Amino acid sequence: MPVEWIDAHPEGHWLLCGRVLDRPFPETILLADGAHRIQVNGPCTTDLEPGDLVRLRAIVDHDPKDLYLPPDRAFPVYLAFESQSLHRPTRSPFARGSETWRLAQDGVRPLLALRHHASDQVRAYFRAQRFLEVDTPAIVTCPGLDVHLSAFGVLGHMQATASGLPTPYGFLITSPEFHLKRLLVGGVNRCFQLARCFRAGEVGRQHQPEFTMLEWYRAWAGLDDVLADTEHLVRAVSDAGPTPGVVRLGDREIPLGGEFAQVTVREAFARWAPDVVDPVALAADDEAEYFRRFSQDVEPALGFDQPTFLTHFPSVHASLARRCDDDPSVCLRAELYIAGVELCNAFDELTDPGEQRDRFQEDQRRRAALGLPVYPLDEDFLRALEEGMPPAAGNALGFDRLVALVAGRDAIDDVIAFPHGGGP
Amino acid sequence: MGQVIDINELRRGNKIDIDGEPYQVVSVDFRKPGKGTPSTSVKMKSMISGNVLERTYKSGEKLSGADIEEREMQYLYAEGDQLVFMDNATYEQAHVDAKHFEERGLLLDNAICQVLLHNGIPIGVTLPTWVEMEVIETEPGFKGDTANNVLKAAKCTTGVIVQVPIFINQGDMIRIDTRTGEYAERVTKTR
Repeated sequence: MPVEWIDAHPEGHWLLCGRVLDRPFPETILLADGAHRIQVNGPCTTDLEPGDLVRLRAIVDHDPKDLYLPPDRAFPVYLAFESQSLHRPTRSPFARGSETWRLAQDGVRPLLALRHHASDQVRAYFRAQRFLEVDTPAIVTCPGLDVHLSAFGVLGHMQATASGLPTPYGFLITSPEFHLKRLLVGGVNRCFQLARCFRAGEVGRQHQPEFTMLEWYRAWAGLDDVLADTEHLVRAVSDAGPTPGVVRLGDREIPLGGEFAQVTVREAFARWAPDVVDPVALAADDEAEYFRRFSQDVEPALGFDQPTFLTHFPSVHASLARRCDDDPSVCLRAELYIAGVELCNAFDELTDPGEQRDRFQEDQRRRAALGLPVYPLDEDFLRALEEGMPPAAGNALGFDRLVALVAGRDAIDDVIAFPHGGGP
Repeated sequence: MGQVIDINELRRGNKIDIDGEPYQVVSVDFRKPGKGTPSTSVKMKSMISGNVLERTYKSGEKLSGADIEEREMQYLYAEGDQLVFMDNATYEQAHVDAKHFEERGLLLDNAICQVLLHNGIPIGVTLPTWVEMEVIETEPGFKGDTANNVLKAAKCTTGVIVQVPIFINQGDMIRIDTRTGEYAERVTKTR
């Protein structure tokens, strides 16, 4: 509910426009803009009702410095001498839990502003690093074969076919990875995208079926380089938030100033789930149990003293990352955790077309065995690898999660204007 | 035994048995580490001790729903540490351990209460929201002392001590909110 201040009129009064949020006293109304309430007094406000869209002429009644409020909450109180209700809603905009109630009362607007500033910070960082911001297709024929990702299908022409059903056309991307890597092959050495990604069936505090991924790739660079990018980006976005240099979640404070810690998956299990003798073996033998212990014991402990990169994941979950040369049971993959929240997934990228094809085929076999849809191989991507992808590292960072953390929120739907519901 | 609940169907407010103890689900969260399988984190509160437990379940795991029943019963009498209640419809009696009461002094004879049963065994009692009792002992209030929110101690019929406003006198009937144990209002003035 934006309240618009129109500049002081030549005759010394103000034009105030907005929505009446509440009427605490007979001659007082509150106007709202999501973050602040503006109090307006005066007999001409008596006929206004909560929900009305109004235009008022007013003079400043009390200066904020008279009100003993903290500076960020101090707003002048106005005395209105003329009011006009432009629209009286035919249904209450403030039904509890309704969309307008949430946007107006819940303070969503400052969070949307934070999102905007966060993306400005991201773009400024990558511009300084001479990256190219790119767009890639959202509809693809191969959405990625990760066994535990489920893609949304896209229907083609809606006109009736012989069967009466539209022809399937493709899938929505679960990540822009394949196309961004094809750009590397084409000579775009540094690129990034703030990409809308789609994953079916994922709704939770840190999950939405539709979310924004910040994904970037550096050719001729390694994992350490993109982890350094990640540190810079987290700090830069934090600078746009309410607590620069710190993530404040509940009563926990995580400083972002120092160097981020690194811990391997084996070290993390040894510390927080010591009864698991060899997590890398467990990941291969009983994947569901490995991830249950990971979610229950390891993940909630990560990144509370300082942001922490978890590294050296089991190679069965290497996906598109290279395996370690000195220990092929683990791979060159890293995830950043802050306050138990996984923020990103970085790879030292696999560039070997033969090994990549083998891994895709293995994923296809596993999908078939689990009764999941088996998406086709992305031959365009494999062709690009055969033509030669430069050594590179890349990272995919959950932009909504980062904004939520920086805002001190533990659920990403707080920083999304229109989140999908349907969660437990 | 209660019904079987699939973890994917579990919702806040559900009651489940964990190692024979009934728990009420406080929150359910979808979890899915990168490249990982989904799991469900459940935060729950014991309906007996109030302890909070957090557990993570694999997708598809089954939980056992708790057999919880709430019955309207009348308080009859105390038998040592046991309080005896009776279902006025079936004349069935239930013995409730006094440890389930934070404040026994708010339980009046013949009060109609809600008794919570787990597998038929009483685990808690909800008292009627309002009880009325006579003040049997309190300091007299002083005239002229009219400041609001000034309270004093008053002892009631069952021996329970309640903070009351200073205008309450010995012999007054007062109404007490059993949820908070606080004075609500004066019912009748002493003659």
